Amino acid sequence: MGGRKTRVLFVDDDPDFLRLLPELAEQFVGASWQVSTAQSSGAALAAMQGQSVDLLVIDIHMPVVDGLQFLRLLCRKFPDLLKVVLTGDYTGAYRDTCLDSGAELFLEKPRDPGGWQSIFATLAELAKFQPEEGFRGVLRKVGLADVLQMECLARNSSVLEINTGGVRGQIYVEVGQVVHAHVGEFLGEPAFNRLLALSGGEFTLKPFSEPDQRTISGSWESLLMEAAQQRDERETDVPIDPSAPKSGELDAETQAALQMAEEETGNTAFFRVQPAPELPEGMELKPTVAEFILCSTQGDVLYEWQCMNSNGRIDFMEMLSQKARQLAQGLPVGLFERMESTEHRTRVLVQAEADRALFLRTVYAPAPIAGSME
Amino acid sequence: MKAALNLWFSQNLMIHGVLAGGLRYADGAPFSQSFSTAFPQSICDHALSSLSDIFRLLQAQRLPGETVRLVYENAVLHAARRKDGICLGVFTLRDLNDYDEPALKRLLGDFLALPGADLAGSVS
Repeated sequence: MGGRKTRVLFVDDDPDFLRLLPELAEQFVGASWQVSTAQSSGAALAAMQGQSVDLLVIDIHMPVVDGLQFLRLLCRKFPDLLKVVLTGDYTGAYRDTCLDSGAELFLEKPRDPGGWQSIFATLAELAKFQPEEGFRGVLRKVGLADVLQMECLARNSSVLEINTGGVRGQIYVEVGQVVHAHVGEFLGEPAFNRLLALSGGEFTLKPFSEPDQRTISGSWESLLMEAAQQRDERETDVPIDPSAPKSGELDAETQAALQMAEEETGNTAFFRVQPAPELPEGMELKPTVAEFILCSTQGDVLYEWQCMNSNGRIDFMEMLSQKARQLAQGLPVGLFERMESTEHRTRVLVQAEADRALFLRTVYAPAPIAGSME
Repeated sequence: MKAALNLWFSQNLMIHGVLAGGLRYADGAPFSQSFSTAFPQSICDHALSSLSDIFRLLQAQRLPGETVRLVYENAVLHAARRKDGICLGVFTLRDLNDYDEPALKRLLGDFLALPGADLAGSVS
């Protein structure tokens, strides 16, 4: 017998089209594929819980969760999965959106039988890229933190090799625990934090090999949170730029994120009322947006800014909403709308709405009161 | 310490606009008081248990969790958690004009600042 069959899942709401596929696959790629089909995104997800899939082919127009939404969800949940959009609605706008949303290929459904041969040949070529030893991701497209989280949640064992510019490092994950990291002269948590702070570059997921030493023993959740915090701090600790906003002013990105959060929530007071200051005269606390994420109720990220661990934040919002609903059981308080939490100079807002949820973390730092420097 | 803190809480909870409130200790023991028939004590105890879960959730995410406000359609739960794990929660109506906000802020601030030793001492 030959090697393992390539498992291909087709997702399309057209049952006639789905019925054709096994026969077409048999004709063009022989017995090397194991074809399965699903008539909706939900059915596809359910199928993927029970079996692993090497290549997923999705239609765009489907009821409830369309192909684009599904594509974004897959990028977060299964970043290593090869995804192809196969549609009759072959437009430039859709092509760009699908490729930006994580599809490897955007193909048009053939209008004649001959066209299927080239479609299957293309899919077969793509399936050859199926990683035997690991997969390559681009940090900007699939977050290193997302991949790490997936590896840990799945209790996998692997080595993540990160390579950006002249920097090369490794993170070792064993049965879902981060056990070692090194980059340059750094080992353990400092190395982990440095690697997670990198932007750009590439990483490769390789099979686990025993590290020279074990330098990390903390939980992966804490490690990721710590890394996110350190990255935030590092980003705020930048050299003075003459074009940067003057003390006491908010930078343009913070202004924009604040404005967007205020518009989303209609909650101006939360952002503008400052914590009780114990500050020298002429100083006040100015808010800086440290993290912001807006997602749909399906868990798709609609907008994020400086969010190191989108999946973690979305899971948190989901758990919080669930707990807040439990808390209200039997009490005439109505629907849960938002949570505001504070400690020292950090504030968090989670706003739950019917179709979306928002997470905002704001840090207050002392700055001269505008106009008091003269 | 529990008796002292319960006493302090009872004496200080009588704030204009408060519907109900309670404490939940680190060992899970609840102490609640209600000023509204719509907020039965047993349901408030259950709510405090969920509140304590929310504080734990914030802690697990390493998010700020000293004071929390949960805003619902018709009411707000104002809450605080001390370093020793004791949580306090107070329900008010939603509108700022419907309750004495400065007094409530003072209650939360005092709760966070009260040293455990002082409370223990005030029992006798």
